[in-house]
Amino acid sequence: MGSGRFRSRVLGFAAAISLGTAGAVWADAPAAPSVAPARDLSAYKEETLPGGALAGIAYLLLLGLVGGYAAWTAKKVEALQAQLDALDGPAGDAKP
Amino acid sequence: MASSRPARALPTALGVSFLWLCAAIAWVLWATPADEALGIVQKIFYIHVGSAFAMLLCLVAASGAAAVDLLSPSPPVDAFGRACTEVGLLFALVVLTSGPLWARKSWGAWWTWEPRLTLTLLATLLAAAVLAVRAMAGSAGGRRIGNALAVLAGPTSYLIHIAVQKWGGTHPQVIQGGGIQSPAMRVAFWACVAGLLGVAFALVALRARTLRLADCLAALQLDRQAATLRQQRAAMAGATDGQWAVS
Repeated sequence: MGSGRFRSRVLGFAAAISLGTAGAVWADAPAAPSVAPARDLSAYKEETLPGGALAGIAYLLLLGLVGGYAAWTAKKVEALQAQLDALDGPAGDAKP
Repeated sequence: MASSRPARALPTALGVSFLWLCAAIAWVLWATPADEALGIVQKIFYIHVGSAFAMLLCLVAASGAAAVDLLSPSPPVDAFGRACTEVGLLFALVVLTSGPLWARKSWGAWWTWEPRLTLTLLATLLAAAVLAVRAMAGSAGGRRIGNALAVLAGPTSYLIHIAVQKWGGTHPQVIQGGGIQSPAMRVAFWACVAGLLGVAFALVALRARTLRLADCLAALQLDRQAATLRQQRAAMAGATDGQWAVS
């Protein structure tokens, strides 16, 4: 009973926030020009890292984050499968 | 035995997607022309947009799964939702780090509080909050509160999508605003998007499987402990009966 009431309250809360946000967006938010004003890039060329270095950092971050997470997940699933197999073995043998 | 096939298939799918992504990145770096105005830093665009697609898809899927799990709790749906949130957060971090690197060269600032950037930061914090609640709060309560928070990721993703059209800001709209003109850039861009989405889907599937296996393992360990306790109880009861019979 308590769980059902809590669930309906949470859903009501989430629905109210979602509907309110969507309503606020569509009600009278003025449409703005989608193209950003052109900027003079020459002023920033001296004080920033070279573009190649910035792009290199971005690509290394992507490969490091995604590759690291993928390797961790693959190792984790292997370890869990091995643990499950080890636990499952004796029980399976014990079955008639 | 049947479970070993998906166990091998998912890491293979992930490996193939990752290799595809690496090949697409190599193609971008060596075979696509540099942008006339921005130079080589424009190449960040190829991974930034694909990561944003992956982030939005994962967060919308996490939101849907959380709503379904709130209405009728189901362990596979819950595992799928948690996996989507994690992978969504991963790609949100990629978006939030690659974007400023491009923006510094293009806008002259690492960060501006314009609508799309602010909403993306909000979505990232929301995903982090969902995972923190799931990790720290108890199983049933944490699951419900985490799901309630995760539901909000759906409207947030929608607002990120429409932010530039509705509120303007400095964020460019390349895809909606006419697309990429150069054919070489277009092919490389969609190859990168395909690679990033492939990696994201494979990661979600593999992570959901990891979470399901962890749940199964915990249940199995509990069963084992209960069986051991029952055996000990039976042995103690037998010993007590023997003592009564002797006396």
